[in-house]
Amino acid sequence: MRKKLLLSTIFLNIICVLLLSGCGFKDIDKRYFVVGTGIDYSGDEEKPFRITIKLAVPSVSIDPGSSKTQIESINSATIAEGVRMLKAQVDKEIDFGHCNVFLIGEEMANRNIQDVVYWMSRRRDIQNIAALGVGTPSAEDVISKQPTVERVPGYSLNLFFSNDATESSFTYVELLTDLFRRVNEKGLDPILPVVEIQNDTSYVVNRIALLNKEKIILILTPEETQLFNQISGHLGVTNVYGSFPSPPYVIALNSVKTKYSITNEDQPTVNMKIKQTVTFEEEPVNERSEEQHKVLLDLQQAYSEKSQQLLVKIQEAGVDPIGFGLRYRADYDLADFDENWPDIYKRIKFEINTKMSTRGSGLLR
Amino acid sequence: MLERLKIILSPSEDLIQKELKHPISKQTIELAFYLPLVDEAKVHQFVTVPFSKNEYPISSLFQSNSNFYIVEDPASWVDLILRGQALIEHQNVIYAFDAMHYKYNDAPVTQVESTIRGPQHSISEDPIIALNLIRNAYMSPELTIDQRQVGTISQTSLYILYDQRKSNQDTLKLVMNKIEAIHLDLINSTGELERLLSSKKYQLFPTLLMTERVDRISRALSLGKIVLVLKGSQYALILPVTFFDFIHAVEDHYESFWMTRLLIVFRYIALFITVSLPGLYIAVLSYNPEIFRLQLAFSLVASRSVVPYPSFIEVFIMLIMIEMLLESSIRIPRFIGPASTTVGGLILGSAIQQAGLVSSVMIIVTSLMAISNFVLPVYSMTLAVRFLKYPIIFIAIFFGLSGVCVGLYFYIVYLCNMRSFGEYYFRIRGKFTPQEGDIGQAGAR
Amino acid sequence: MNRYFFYNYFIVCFTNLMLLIPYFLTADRYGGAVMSIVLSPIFGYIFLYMFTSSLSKFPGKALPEIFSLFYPKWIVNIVMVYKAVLIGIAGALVISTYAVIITSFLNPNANQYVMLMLLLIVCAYAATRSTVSIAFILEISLLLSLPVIAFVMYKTINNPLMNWDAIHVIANHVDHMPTLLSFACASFVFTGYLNMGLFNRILPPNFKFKYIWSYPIIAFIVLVITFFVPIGIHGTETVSQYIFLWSATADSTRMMYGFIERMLFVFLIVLINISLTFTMVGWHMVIEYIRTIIPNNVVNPDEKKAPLRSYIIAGCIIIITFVTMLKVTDDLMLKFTAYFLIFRLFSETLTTTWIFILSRKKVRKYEKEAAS
Repeated sequence: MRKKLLLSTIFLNIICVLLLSGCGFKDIDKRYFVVGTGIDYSGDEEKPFRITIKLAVPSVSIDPGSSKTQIESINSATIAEGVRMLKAQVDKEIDFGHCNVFLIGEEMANRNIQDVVYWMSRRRDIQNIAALGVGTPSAEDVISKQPTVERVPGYSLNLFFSNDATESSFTYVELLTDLFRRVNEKGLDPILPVVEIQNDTSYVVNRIALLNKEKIILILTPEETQLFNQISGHLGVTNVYGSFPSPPYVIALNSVKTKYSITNEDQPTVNMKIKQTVTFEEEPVNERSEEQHKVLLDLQQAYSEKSQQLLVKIQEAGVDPIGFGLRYRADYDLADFDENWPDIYKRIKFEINTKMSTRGSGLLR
Repeated sequence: MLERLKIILSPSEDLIQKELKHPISKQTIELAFYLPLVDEAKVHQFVTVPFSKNEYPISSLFQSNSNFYIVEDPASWVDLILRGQALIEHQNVIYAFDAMHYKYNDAPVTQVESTIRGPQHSISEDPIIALNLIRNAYMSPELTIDQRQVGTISQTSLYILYDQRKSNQDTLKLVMNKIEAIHLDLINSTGELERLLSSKKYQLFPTLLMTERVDRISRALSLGKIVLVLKGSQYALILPVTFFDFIHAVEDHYESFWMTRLLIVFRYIALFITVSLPGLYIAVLSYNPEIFRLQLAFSLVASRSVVPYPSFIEVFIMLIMIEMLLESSIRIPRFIGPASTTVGGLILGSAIQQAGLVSSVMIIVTSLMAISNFVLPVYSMTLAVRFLKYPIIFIAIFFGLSGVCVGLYFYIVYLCNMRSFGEYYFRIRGKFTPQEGDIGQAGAR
Repeated sequence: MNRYFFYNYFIVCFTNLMLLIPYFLTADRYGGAVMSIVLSPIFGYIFLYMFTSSLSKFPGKALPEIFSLFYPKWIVNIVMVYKAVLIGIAGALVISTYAVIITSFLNPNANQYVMLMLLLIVCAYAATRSTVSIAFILEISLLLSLPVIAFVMYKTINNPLMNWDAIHVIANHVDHMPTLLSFACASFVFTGYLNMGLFNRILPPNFKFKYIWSYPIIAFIVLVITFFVPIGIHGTETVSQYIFLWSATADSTRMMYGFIERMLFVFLIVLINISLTFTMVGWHMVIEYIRTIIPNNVVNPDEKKAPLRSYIIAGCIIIITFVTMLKVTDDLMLKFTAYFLIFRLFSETLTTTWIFILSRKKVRKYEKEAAS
């Protein structure tokens, strides 16, 4: 009798628990996956955000070029409100769980990115490892383009930013955690890659934009971008760290190791040591191999000068993407960072020392 | 001799010890042999009948027949009697008579537990043959065989085998009490006995191991376990068992070391797959599709888009069909057998997906689950595990991925709480030094 | 058998994530947090040795039995209720934090209370099992979780986003005086030995605590990783902005070649394992302590069937936890956790010293009464 009572109590409890739950059940074919988002400045003062989302339309065949997407846009006063209103425009539930690419329009990036970054970090279904970028001329243009040879909807832009597909030395991949950190950190400033469209159907990602905590200050050229990637140590697992043209030679860098230290005298100096192993990719035709040593010295000198020019350019723009401020804070305790650091940064001198060791000159002598 | 033998050998029902006294000639011989091991007709023909007829003096019979030889050394009595010799004492001279009868020809072939290269015979429904095989595999004087009758009408004999020195006395007492407490009319198969001997009726996992293989029985005896052999049934019961005994096949001792260890790992993976895969399918599809990569999510969407109803209905349809297929293939007559393969393969596999009733990923999930179910070597565990996935499916429907994790955790709690005749059921065996002792009050293994 | 002590020690060590300890420590990172982290292993060592040496004088006896050797029954009852309440609160905090995490990440549309009820029912069922079974469950849970935890930590430390300068900046603040809250948080990691107050029952008679010098070292490494790694990945400023700090940190690693791309899900699954196990062990201790108050109590570490009183006590725990979670808001919970941690620091120091003094006493006044 007692056992029956116990069993029936447990049974009733289980039934009650089960009847109350199950709220989150939504089948996968009743969801629309967002594969790209763009946030622009709409030009309207009352509704400043223009949100564009690219929804993936599932199709059974996976031939190249058979992927279909649907673009939805809306203007709104705040981003969260805009996303809510977009839900009314599509027939299925919008799911940001697979959105790996977020683009901020150039105009929006010239105003203020903080609202956007905070919204993205606060939302629970946006991955912290989503990649961000600046879309030119506007994020909507970039997101709306449909590449001709794409199997899975939205995937080709995704692949630019994931390290297992392209590993170009011109592309800088910025993840959401990193951007959120840099927007708030004292001594480290945000960087974003710039995405543009080429030939109306494919993407080009070869420049980076340097920002202070709110907006874009400087956009680097592709060569400067490559140099920046090399000296800041941001290239992860690639084999070829790009090339360095210094006519008539072109060398390919196989490995780059950068170390720097900051001294704390009246004239603060950054001593940067760069160690590289290189391979010759292009040489003048009648080259003697005994002069390789002298050639390397010249190349080292040229590289150091170029790097110094780049660092001075960044210094004059007043941003600190490599993190000299944070290193200064770590080595020497700097009270009241926000007030004292800009002065010190303006006065810093850069001394760069490059050492190249050659791994050979390809297959020819 | 008989008193001496009583001390050396453990008391056993199949040890026949007779003292024959002839009323007319006043001669006595003492006879001792193991009944399952010898050919009893031979013993009758050469020893008992001539003794009772008394045509010639019995010692001349022993000395003239080359099958009898004198045994000088008492230390070899145990060896001889275990090898099927009958020991005869007459006028303080011990003779050994070779009456060994190997019954391997009468042993049937294994049906459920087969190995590739191990022994292929199983114990038989005749208990004498069964005990013959077991005694030949485990030649130790410590092997004790007791006999009981179970079932008030069927009066089936039940033989209880254990190694006297290695087995645990508490477990033995527990088993004997349980057997005495059986009050059924008919006991026909070992499965019924298993149900009656388990401590709880509603438990999820088996606590006794049913086996037909002689090598598993002899290994169990050497580890101190108790074996029950029922007359009329081809399966024996081994108790107490742990969970890990069910994952271990006899081939793990015959084949190469590395591959068998890898196969044990695969069995655990198969166990995990068969319990949780349908639940995980529902949880991932309907609650958290962002777990997997983009391409996988899209192929899932593409395959599910043709199906009109939610994912758990799909799962139930496929599970019901697979269970019916498996059940019917046990009972299908031999001539219709190939038709069922066609039905299962073609219709359930391809046609149902092309008709748009079930998505293609579900077919893969179902077949993977069905195949990994049979990787487990012992059938009772396979059956137990087949049930376990249904509660996980229920909880996945209502709670998603966290429900699946909580359900699996509940199973681990349940498993660790089970005891099989006092032995801990699910316990990872660590380093155990006898002088330190073990935790808890029971379980000294 | 030493491994059962190891598991008990480390389940408390790993559950520090769930009791908001990284939150309190990183809120204090420019103040005395680093100094508390440096001081806490010393504290941990001293009390670990005190406790284990006192327990080795009472083989096979848990705290209720030890106390009843020296004090009359009513004192023992009060002390046991007090300890049970402390441990029950810790378990309730952990399990409700995990229910909030589930509704944030895994199942956003679910009803938080239904999730909480599911977790409570499973933990309460597991807590009513016998002590020996719970030791086995603890072993298996930890053996399944430890490789995954090691993997998550390894991947997070080797993340290219890891910034050692930020760690350096925070580590420079070691010269600040520790505050009470940060010291209580840091020393919580080292207090796993208190579980042996109950699990001493299952240890064999001539048991010696071996290799315990290594436990605080490993716990110290875990504490350092728990504190510094989020700072390295999130920088010195954003660490204070996340509510679930380690979930965000685990989400920042991209497993490129893995089956699951976001590490967050792997981390959450292992966290559910650890939370359930910690709560189960804690509530089992509550049930056993409160059972000593009820008359006609039979102490059996390996009982076959849980008596009805265990189920009743478990039911009461469920009801109390559930009702409390209905009423309490988030910031009230934060304040309450802070006070609880500080209070626990003092209470456990007192208990350990008390037991140490008891173990040195020659005369056991109530021994004859207790033995009867």
